Amino acid sequence: MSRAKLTALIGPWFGFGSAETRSDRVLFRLFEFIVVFWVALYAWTWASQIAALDQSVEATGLAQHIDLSFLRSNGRSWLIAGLISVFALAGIIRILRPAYTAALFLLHVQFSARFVTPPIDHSSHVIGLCLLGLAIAAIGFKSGPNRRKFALAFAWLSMGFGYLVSAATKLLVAGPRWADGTHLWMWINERATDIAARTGEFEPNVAQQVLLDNLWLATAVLTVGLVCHASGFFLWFRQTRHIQAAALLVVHAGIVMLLGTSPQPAMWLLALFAVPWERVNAAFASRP
Amino acid sequence: MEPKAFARTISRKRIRRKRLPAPERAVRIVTASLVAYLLLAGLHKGEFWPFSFYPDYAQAGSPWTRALVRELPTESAVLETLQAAWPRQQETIYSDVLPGKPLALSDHDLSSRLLTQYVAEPAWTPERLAALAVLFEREGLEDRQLILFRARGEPDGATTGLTITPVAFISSGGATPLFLGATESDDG
Repeated sequence: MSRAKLTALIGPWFGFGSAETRSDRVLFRLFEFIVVFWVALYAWTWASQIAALDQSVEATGLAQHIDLSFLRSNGRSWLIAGLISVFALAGIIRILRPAYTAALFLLHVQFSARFVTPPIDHSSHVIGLCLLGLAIAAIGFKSGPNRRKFALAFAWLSMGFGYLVSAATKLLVAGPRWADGTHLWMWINERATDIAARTGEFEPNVAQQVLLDNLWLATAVLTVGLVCHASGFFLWFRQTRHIQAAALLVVHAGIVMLLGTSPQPAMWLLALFAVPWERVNAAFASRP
Repeated sequence: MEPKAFARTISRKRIRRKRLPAPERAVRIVTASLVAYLLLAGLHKGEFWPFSFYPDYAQAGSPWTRALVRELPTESAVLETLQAAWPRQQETIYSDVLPGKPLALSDHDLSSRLLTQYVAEPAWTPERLAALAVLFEREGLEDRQLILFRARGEPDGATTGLTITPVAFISSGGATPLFLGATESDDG
């Protein structure tokens, strides 16, 4: 497909020409606040993890090319966390256009320096992709409405693509048998053993016990999760976005309940996008 | 190229970039980002934050290993019991079937990741046992008698596939190897 045709097909989707409503601005402000809040929180959390590292870790990202172990000493990881926070703040109050780009780069350095498996919090990828959108928007678009529209559009595109890729990887690596309920049993046991080792105690909650007792139900749960990931592209369309976001929110809530993880930052964004903003906008418009 | 001609070319490029309409710019940026996503994640084992192919949860059913530590009330009686009657497989970590009481690793600043490396190895050497004993030489654990367990999850199609095996006894006298794993002796 030629570039012109691609632009004609996808270009209007960004809605650059349309007027920006009050609810659009509210949505963007909340979105940007959530992303910046979690960027800062990740920066300090990862700084503490890097400072506590006492052995080599599996290299990823930039760490495959540069030895980042020097970040572990002399409080360097804390310094980077401070810089990220300052850049994130500079981004949100718009005093430096490349501020979000700098924050993104430094956060990548931190992620590469502390990368360990397991567990990986995938929400950080979602927050990172949204930060990338904000960074590109700040540099690539001068007008406020266009910058906001692009950042949100990039978030929907990248989140939908991320969930789609996640489903595709599962199917490519494990095939349809990925949804076998015994796999969920293994994950529940893995998390349970982690918690039991760390805290000395673990009691399964009702949901975990029910799924450990019913293989078919465990298989059904994984199947629904896989389908919800594969249909991530519904986040791209205005008409289906809030329904898809709500479905993914339920999937994340299920992960929290079954694997005993803390609520993930991606849930904040999904909750935000699960709001039918079209109706909110209509309600705003009907007010005198 | 003459300097003036070069400057004109640059200037033209700048003008062209300025005039690129927002939709076209957005499409170009998104296309470039998509290419960057696929290339960077693809060339870095599926992980180049924030780009990822999310490979970890795709490995459904992969076996895993973890370390568990429990504290024994007396050395001889429990050890004899363990040696004589340790069941081949425990399918739960929740019940009271494991001897002693659990030791919370976080209370003693012990790294579960590091301990997992010890239990994941199939055989003990004097050096590894000595290093293990040193790991437990810390305040609050001076006179404790501890058993290090290997918890292993493997899909077997019928059960939750959790096997727990005692692998070392740790006391103030050092670390002693226990079973070198039921699986090894089963296979042998």
